[in-house]
Parts: sequence; structure tokens; C-alpha cells
Amino acid sequence: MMTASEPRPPRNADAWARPVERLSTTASGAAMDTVTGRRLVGPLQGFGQMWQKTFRVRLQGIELSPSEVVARWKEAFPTFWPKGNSFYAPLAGIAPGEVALLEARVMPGAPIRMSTGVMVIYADDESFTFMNPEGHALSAWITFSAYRDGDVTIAQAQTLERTADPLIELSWMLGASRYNDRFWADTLANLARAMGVAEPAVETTKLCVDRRRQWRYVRNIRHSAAISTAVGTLTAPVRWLRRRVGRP
Amino acid sequence: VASVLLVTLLVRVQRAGQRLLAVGLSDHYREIFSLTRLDEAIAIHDTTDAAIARGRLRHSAGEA
Repeated sequence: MMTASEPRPPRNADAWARPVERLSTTASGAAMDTVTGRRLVGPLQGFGQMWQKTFRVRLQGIELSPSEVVARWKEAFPTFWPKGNSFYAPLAGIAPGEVALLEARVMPGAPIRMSTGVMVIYADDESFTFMNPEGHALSAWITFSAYRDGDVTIAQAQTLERTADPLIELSWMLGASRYNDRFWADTLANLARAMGVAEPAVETTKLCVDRRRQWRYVRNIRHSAAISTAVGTLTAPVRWLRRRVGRP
Repeated sequence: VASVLLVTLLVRVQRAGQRLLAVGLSDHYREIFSLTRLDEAIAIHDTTDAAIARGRLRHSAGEA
């Protein structure tokens, strides 16, 4: 049993988002909004095995404090993503309670990009955390941070994740997991290059926190953004044709 | 970091067939549990007595 006694809110209380029942967003530019009206899902609500993944890069020789690194990371977050993936920031940027939209490939070379999003559940000067909506491939918390290790500033992305549904779990077992790992490693390498590191070396560590699959969440598949995006894209010509035929 | 530690602890507790309860959380921490949906796996109680009573009730129900 855990107990806590705290008469006043902690200093970082304003860094947390307020609880929300359903999501809404001010972000625009994405082809589809598969986020509005959805609930948040963390690693406890996912289907697959739970993994903690940590990606770190040393910003060797760069005179930037952790808060300066995180400020730049927040400000230009989409520019560090690997090519072929898009992040549509909300109007207020990366701030507590804001919801962003994104389009990402689940597999390399996939012809269709999954439309989904993230909510910023925490953001202070040295870190920020995303939580995913229903339909995202991963039920997860993802924390981006920077800290000092001696004279060097380290930039880090850390996820605590389960795949959201059996279809994604299967794709993860077939190689999508490695592709996702490379996504974050490439993101950190891009960040380090933007900060001035010539040859960034990203260190990746993975830890299986829970090997069990949560079969009670097998029905998460009904929210799958991968499926709804694929159906929406494949049926787009039919909808276009119907609009043309129906036009007077 | 605290959330990750909490989830790791939760997984270990569940693996051992036990339950994790939280007692005496301030409104701020209750909101964090609600936001992150930790409260769906870790029941929150106002007092230790209430948590123990609830635990005994569930234990009795499990034995019956």
C-alpha cells in the first residue's frame, strides 16, 4: 500500500495536463483526424508485451544545458522526425494538455501512413511526456528529456509501451518493432546533428517489463488507426466518384 | 520516472497474485492517476483503514 500526505501541490503541478475524458485538438494539416473523441491509453490499457525502451545520445562537445536542448526539441519537434513521417503540432506547441496529430509509417515502404496523434501530458523545462490515444499502434507513455552526465548533456527518449491490439502485436513480431526502434534512434541522431554533433552515436536499451499479453484488451482492434486509415485511403476513389456522379 | 517505477511495481505485484492500493493521495496526485489511467489498476482510498477494509472484503468474497 502506498501513502502520501501533501498539503500543497508540488512545484511542478502546472507542468501536468488536467485529466480529460475525450480528446480534442487545435492541430491542423493532417489528412485525417482519428483522435478527436478518443480516450488516452497508456501501457496499462494495451494488448501486447510491455517494454521499456531507452534511446540516448551524447551531445559531445556541445555547450548547451539540458533546458536549452529541451527548449529546442519542443520548438522544432517535427523537424527531427525521419523523412516520410509528419507531426502536426497544436497551436500552443508542446505544452501540457495539447493534442498533436501525426502521420507515420508502421512498416518501411508501407504505401499508407497511419493517421493518429499524441497528447502532451507533462512538460517542464527539462522533459516532456506524450500519451497516446485509442487507435494508435502503441498504448504508451513516451518521455523526452535531457540531463547532464559530467560535462556532457545527454538527450533521451524513453517509452513504456504495449502494442495496442493483436494485429499490431503480430506486425511487431514480424519486424515493425525494429522499425519503430530505428524511428526513435534516427530522431535522436537528427536532433544531435541539429545541435552540432557531427557523428552522433545513439545508444538503445530495451527491457521487457511484462511478458504477458493482456487478452482482455483484444477488442482494442476496433479503434485501430492503421485499419481506419487504410480503409479511408482505399475507399477514397469510391467517395470521390460518388461525389462526381451525385453532382448536378 | 515515478510512473515507470509504479507500473513496474504493479506488474510484479500482479504477478504475485496481489493488489496494489494507494492511500491518502492529494487532489494533485489523484488527477495524475486519473490522467494516466493508473487509477484503473491501482485503487485509491482515503484512509489506510478504508483500504484494509476493502482488501478484506474482496479477500472474503474471493474465499466464498
